[in-house]
Amino acid sequence: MKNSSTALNLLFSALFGLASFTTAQAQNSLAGMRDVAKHDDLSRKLRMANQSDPIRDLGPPAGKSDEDPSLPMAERDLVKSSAVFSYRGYLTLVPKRAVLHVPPALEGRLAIVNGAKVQTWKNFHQSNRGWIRTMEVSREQALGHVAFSEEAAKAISDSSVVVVATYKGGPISVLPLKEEDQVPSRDDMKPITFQKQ
Amino acid sequence: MKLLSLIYFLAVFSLAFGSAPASADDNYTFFVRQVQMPDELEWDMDVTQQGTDQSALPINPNGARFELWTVKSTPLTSYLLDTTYVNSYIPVSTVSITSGDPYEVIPRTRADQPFTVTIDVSGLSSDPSAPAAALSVKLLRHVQAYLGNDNGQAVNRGLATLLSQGSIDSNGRQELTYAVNAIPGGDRTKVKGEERFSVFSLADYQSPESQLDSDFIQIWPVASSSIGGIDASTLIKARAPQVTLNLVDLYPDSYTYAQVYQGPQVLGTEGEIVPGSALLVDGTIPRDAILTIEDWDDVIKEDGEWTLEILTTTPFGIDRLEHTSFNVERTIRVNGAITSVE
Repeated sequence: MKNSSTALNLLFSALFGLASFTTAQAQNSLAGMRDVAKHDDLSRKLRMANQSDPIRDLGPPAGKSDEDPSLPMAERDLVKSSAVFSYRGYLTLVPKRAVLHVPPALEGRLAIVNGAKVQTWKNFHQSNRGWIRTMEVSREQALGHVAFSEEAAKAISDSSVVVVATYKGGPISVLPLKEEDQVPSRDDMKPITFQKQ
Repeated sequence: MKLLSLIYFLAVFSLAFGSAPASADDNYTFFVRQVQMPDELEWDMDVTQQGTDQSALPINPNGARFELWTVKSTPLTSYLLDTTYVNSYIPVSTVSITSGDPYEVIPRTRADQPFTVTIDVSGLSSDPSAPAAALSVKLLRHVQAYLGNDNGQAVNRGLATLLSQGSIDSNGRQELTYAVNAIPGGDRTKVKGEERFSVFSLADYQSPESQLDSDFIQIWPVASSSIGGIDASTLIKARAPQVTLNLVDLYPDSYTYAQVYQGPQVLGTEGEIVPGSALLVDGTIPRDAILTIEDWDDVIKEDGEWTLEILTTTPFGIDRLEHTSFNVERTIRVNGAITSVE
């Protein structure tokens, strides 16, 4: 009886080569066979587990414990927090404040078109350089610490194409210009450095 | 030693979120968004599907949050795959979850199986005058059931239940073992959902409590089954009857079959596989099936009591889902007498 069943198993395994484990392995483990778990057993296990949650054993949480800090991220949505450009069956996302200028004639391209295939910014921009111009900004300009020059501001507002702010080629939001007394000192804004491991 | 004004990040996109985004699917496009604290200035960097890169945007003194997203084209939907907050004195942490199932894309296990959460923390300060956020981190455990027919694709993680929380104030590795999951649900064999373990930094000057790392494990229900068309009252005198196997919640990596052997049911007995009864599941979610078995006389060769069982083999071992015994009596006995006429 064993030989015939093993042969059947091997045949089945050969037919379904994607199996994560073989029936031969299943045969080998027959000795460890058990009846399927029952609700009562699992309920008992859960009651015991609830009495000693390893996390609680670590000690009371530091900081706030009445608020769930994961909630803001659970509600975050990249599409909703982005500006979406769609054109000729493709679309891409950039941070909302990265779009510095959209001439009225091109406003229709700042919208979601159902069915459009999502592309990275780099790929989308390569195919749409004719109507999207990038403007490299400094970190201080993006933070709203330094204003654009008059010439740059005029060039943006007069542009007949869409203007997107970029930093090292990646779209970056440009925050509203801060009042002088709200701008941190250069020392305060010194970037964090990390030691290479 | 070279000073880096940039932060390395590792973007390994082979992970998936829930069961929804397949990792290597052309319908998904990946984005890494860096959010600078406290003003939430946002910058996108171009990423490929797998690799390591540096951020070109120096991090503000208040730190930055890195978000790894995948975006599906139709319908346009974004999934947050991972997020981490970095700052100069904020500790670094990693969370990983393992179970008896070696499947690597998403940690997963079955409702009756244990799992282990491993948390590594480094960079915690031992200086008591250091800011609180440098002295300890917070560990959270969330549980969430997948409702109805959902298998994680439609779950709203904002509705997860924060089950417990604690603190870690020393560097090193912590291993937390859970004998069983705590997914909400009445029938403990049929719960399905996910447990998430996250390490958060403490709130700091102008920065909220922020996630350092997180991992989740999917919990799938225990399989169940029923056998129709045959039971203990069945007496097979000719052909074996048509039998129906109703299989429910077969584990995503499982091999399920019916076997028969002569005699009453004894757990662990090796029998002969009933032709047409085997089903292989190699996927990401559980599967139901109804199998109709016909022409299986060849495996019941002799008269007497027989047992039919449904077995399922998974990475956790072999489980007997259901069994029934029946009787076979095919030998024709003729009661008669031979007489002769002289």
